[in-house]
Amino acid sequence: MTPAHESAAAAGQASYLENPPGRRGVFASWMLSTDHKRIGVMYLMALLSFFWVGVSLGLAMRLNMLHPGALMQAQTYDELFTVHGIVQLFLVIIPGVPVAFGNFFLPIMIGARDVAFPRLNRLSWWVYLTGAGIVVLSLFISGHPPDTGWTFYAPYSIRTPTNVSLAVAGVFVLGFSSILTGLNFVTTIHTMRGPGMTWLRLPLFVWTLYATGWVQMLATPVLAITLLFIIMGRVLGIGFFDPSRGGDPIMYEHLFWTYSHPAVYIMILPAMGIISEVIPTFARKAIFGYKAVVFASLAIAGVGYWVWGHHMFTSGMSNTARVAFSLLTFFVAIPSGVKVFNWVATLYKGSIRLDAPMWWAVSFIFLFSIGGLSGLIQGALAPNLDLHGTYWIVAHIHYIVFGGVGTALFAGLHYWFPKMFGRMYRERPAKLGWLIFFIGFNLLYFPMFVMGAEGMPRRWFDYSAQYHTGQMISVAGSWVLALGLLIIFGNLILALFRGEAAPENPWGGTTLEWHTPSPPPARNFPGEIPVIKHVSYKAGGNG
Amino acid sequence: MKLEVPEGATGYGILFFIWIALAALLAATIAIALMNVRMAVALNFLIATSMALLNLFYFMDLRHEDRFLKTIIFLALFALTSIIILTYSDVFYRMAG
Amino acid sequence: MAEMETAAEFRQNRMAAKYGMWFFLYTELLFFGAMFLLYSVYRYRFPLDFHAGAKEENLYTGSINTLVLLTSSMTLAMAVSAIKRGQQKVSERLQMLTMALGVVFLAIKYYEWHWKIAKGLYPNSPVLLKLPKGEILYFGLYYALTGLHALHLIVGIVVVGFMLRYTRKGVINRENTARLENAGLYWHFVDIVWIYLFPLFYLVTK
Repeated sequence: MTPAHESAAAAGQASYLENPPGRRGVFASWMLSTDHKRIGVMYLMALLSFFWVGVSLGLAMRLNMLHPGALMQAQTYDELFTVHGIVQLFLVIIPGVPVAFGNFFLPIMIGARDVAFPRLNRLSWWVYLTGAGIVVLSLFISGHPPDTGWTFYAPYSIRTPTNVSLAVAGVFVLGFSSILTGLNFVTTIHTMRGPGMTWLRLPLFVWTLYATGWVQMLATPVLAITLLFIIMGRVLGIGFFDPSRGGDPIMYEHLFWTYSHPAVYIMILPAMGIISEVIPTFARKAIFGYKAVVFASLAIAGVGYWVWGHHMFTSGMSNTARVAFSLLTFFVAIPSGVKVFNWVATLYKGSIRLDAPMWWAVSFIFLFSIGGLSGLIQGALAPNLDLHGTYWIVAHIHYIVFGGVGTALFAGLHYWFPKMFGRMYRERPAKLGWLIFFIGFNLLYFPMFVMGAEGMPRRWFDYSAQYHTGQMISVAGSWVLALGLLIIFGNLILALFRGEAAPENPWGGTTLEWHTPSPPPARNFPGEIPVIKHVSYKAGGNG
Repeated sequence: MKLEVPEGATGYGILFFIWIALAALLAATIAIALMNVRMAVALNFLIATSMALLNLFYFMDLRHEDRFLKTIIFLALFALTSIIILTYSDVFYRMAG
Repeated sequence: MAEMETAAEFRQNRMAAKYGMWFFLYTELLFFGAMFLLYSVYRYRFPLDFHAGAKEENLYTGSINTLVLLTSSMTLAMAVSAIKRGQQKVSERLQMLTMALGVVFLAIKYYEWHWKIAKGLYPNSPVLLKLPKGEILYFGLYYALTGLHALHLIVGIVVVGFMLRYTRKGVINRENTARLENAGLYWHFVDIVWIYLFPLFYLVTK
């Protein structure tokens, strides 16, 4: 290091990517770092790695449908869809946007130097790694990987000889990480806002993280205790969900979905936050109805608490509950609809630039709308009874979680990549990758709606001849989608090493992260924190 | 800053008085249970809640916290209550299997 | 200018510590709340079995334990008061007393468990599995709820132990009380959980 370099680092001017002077090696310096940006980047890398594990498992499941039985046995298929679900949901998409982009951008966007509890943040990251490690261990340790489905339904999860205890313990630990992250973010937003950053000037991404933080804090503990009871049931023989010991398996479903439905909002809210950032930037317009979007986020988080029963219409719960939950489910569609209208209204008469992040954002609106509207169909009690056990549900969850949260994650990745790594990716391969992904996605999952409506049961490893065409289209779609993903990731990885240096504000964004160098210095802003004078979406920016 | 009892420090006397109150409530709740009073369970819970409130406002010093913390506790209670009510919409009306 | 900033930062950190701790307690509230929900559902289904199961509880030890825990809450609240007045030694003694009361509680709890286990009443035991289903659930809930509560108390004792160390070193002092206050919040919360557990298990039958 040159002396000039050293003094810059001492003043906190050096990029966060550069190792601070000291004796720590690169690896230790990252792992022990309390810098929210470094933690965010590490989370991102871990998430994307696990994402590929999940993708590979999904591809293998589709491959089985080419000729059921040729590649694997039914037991293996059960294990595959279980592990695919656990990995993609608990390791990738639930922590997903908040831990990666939330960590990196929340403090910058509110004009802070770091989160409220930097060391707790590092602890969350370690806890996440531990939990993920335990889940992975459950795949390789002696015996079979879990085969219960990602929902761990009792009493089967108490009786199956597969490694359920370990997997459940892993998810339990991951829950801690999630709670601590939510707690940290909510506290940060309350106490660390920079000069002039009043509540109604906060960027919308921050608002969604705020709503998500509350859901993380108030829903995850319910999952924790429920999973703990599964482990106690297996290890100690406490039969809370075991009918032979007086327990009620439907109570397991209640408690599980009390968390796992709000968990859908833990995933989708920050994804909506990304879209609410990308669309105003690329439409060159302030977001339409800022306050409506803010209140819609809070409303989704609130009402999302009262709808979990719609996962249980066929479980044998009471008719009263079924009707009540079906009605409540329709209410949650209202704030989601508000958001979609606001995004579209923002585009209206905007000066739209179709760079890669924008393609991802508009395809989010399209895919999320399909997912959301299909959700209304299955949220109505009568159709649900027919659709619940079918591919329809598989199609719905993938349109929401992959088509919604997944594309938003890619939108965020392309939007913020230059800021995070200080490099530009190549635009043409990025768009090409998006196009192939989009085609592949719809080929893969849309036939599942059709097959589901025709009665193809989900989680079956075989199918009758009438579904042959649909299955084949879907299998082919999985390959197209994988090709798209390869192009996207290849392009970004190449950019990481060979990309041109990114300017401070490549897209003309107005929020605070575009008012600091790319990549940001360790202290987030080179000098004083800019003073905020108006709401975060105005031409010419803030500051 | 140089007051005898600094701002926010609850006096020992008050804390001891709260302890007496808590102990009295404990005695009351046991007595109610032993005496076979009607609605004993409801009374037990009423007393438990008042003990919890004394704890919250004096030992945990919630009365000196800002309005946000005082309000937001209802959010957590509201979340829990809604979970309980909705679960009971099933439990109360489930047909005997 | 620099001094003003540190004062602002100090206030900011203090506020963050408070908020963070209260938020954590809300998560704990939901954690125990879900257990209470499960208890109430099963008690609603098996009222007579729960009645029979609760006959095994000892009202004396239960009541004494409640009083012990209430007292420990008072001593810890006093320890916070003491440090705010700058009475370091008093605060240290009160913290030690709190830990000791926590240990007393655990010891009594240990004997309660011990008596039940000696009778063969523990999860998955042959004796228990012969009982009606509601009683199996009752004892399962008893062990799970009091066990998780005891676990929280053990954590509390360890935490207060650290606070004692900090107080001795002077890290916790008249101006810097946030850590001890937060430890107190946690301790009082564990106390409140017990305040509800007590009628659930000890006052069902009487």
